[in-house]
Amino acid sequence: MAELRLRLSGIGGQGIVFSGRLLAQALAEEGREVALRYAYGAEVMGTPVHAELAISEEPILCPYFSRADVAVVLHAKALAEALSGLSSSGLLVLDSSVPKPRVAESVRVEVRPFVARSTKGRPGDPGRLAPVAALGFLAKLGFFPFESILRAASSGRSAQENVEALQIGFAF
Amino acid sequence: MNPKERKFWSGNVAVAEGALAAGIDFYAGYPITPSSEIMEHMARELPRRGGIFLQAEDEIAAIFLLLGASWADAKPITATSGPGFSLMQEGLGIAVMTETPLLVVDVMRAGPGTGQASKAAQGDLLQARWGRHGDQILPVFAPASVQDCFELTVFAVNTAERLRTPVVLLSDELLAHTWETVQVPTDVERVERRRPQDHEPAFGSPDPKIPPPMPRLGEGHALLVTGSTHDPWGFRRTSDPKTHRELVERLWNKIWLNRENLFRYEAVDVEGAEVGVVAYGSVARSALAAKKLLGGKVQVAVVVLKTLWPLAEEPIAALAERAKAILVPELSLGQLLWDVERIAAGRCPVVGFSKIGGGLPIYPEELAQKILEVRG
Repeated sequence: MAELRLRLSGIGGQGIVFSGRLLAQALAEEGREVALRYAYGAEVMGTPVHAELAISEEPILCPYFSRADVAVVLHAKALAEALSGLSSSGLLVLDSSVPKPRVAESVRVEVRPFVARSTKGRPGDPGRLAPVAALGFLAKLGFFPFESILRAASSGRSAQENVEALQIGFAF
Repeated sequence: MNPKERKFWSGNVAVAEGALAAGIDFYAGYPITPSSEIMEHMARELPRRGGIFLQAEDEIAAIFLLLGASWADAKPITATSGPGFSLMQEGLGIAVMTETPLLVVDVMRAGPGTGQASKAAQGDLLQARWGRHGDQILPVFAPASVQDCFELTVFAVNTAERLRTPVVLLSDELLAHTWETVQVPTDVERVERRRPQDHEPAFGSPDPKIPPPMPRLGEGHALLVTGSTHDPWGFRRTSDPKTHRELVERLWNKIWLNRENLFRYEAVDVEGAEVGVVAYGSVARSALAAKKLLGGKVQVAVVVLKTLWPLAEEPIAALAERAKAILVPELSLGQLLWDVERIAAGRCPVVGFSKIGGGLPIYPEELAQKILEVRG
């Protein structure tokens, strides 16, 4: 498999970094070559956050890439930065709260209600399980095995709600 | 062969684990982005492993806590970033003068001032070398991968102990927040500082390449440790020109004459190079990827510097002999560029490539484009 370049984008407080680590750790533990890099603003909460993963069968020469094959955007504030770094033949996965941008015809766009379906109406929640739900959706699209990410999500303090979010995304 | 364990770590976690593997048993620091994960890891792990963790009131206190801890027989480390690194310079100068082993990790971010706290930069190279006043030198190392973060931290701690000197490890935000697979050896070399034998002086050595032994407080040594000029026995000599000259020259030579032993680098395809790229830190990864992108279109050599001070000149000089031009990409306005220009000494053109602000990496594609431009 050629190197897959995936960018998860949202705002601070949504768990973008957590989800990036969840996926990267899961694949690394299975022996895949993975590099993860995340970037956030000094404000930490409420401003754009990106987690970038390079996934390959070969050792990864450089973890830093300008064009992603897949961009997942879970908040409108992160859309512009995410779009500028998407391959012209890439896949754009949007949360349904994000205004649909004009993109080249060669870009495939998928829109799903990750935030609305995973927050369950909790007040003040910016959609902190939405990135986990998006991982479930990416697994359904075949980018990585659902079992890999499910195993990783099944431990830790928030295991139950993370597993539920994964299943929501996988069911889309 | 030393068996290895596979881990998935960030650059910051790998630095902390490298320090622990090398025997670090004291941490004092003040949290600052993008170095804070090192402090968090140490806060969690050091007490568990029998060490001491202290959060200081600021970076000045932190560096002086390291000095005190080192003289109390600890192997100390701190981690910081630009603004905190500036505050630590006074203590680092005292550590050079008192020959106190310690490690300062500077995870570079965009400055000056508070700059862009969470964004990468490489603007602290010259400060790491020259940030103290007076004639002084200390080793500066720079990892280019998460694996390097582990291995070079071990080397940095051991160098501090072997040469009885403060050492700086220069990481950057990109590397700090990059997670990669690391092969961790189960057996890591630990250098222990040399103790005095038969009334050896604590501040003098007949061999300029070998540091004096370091007494352990509480073992009967009548010792004066001072940042002022002192003779081999530690007595202040603040007017005597000969004592000052001998001391400062010895402190310099202790590092400078060992520069070949301290120098770590990787050179790829220097023979037959059309364009050479000299880089360090996270930028080195982009340089290697740019070379691959260009394939056979241009013969590209890459020299990755992992020791930034003192420099051994041979690999850059060899590149200058062979290449038509050398490109120096940096996340600064050009600091390493000065070294490469000086060493190349007109044998080939040396071109800088700067990118600053916003924490954006130098991407392999843009570096490949620049290589094509430089080749002409």
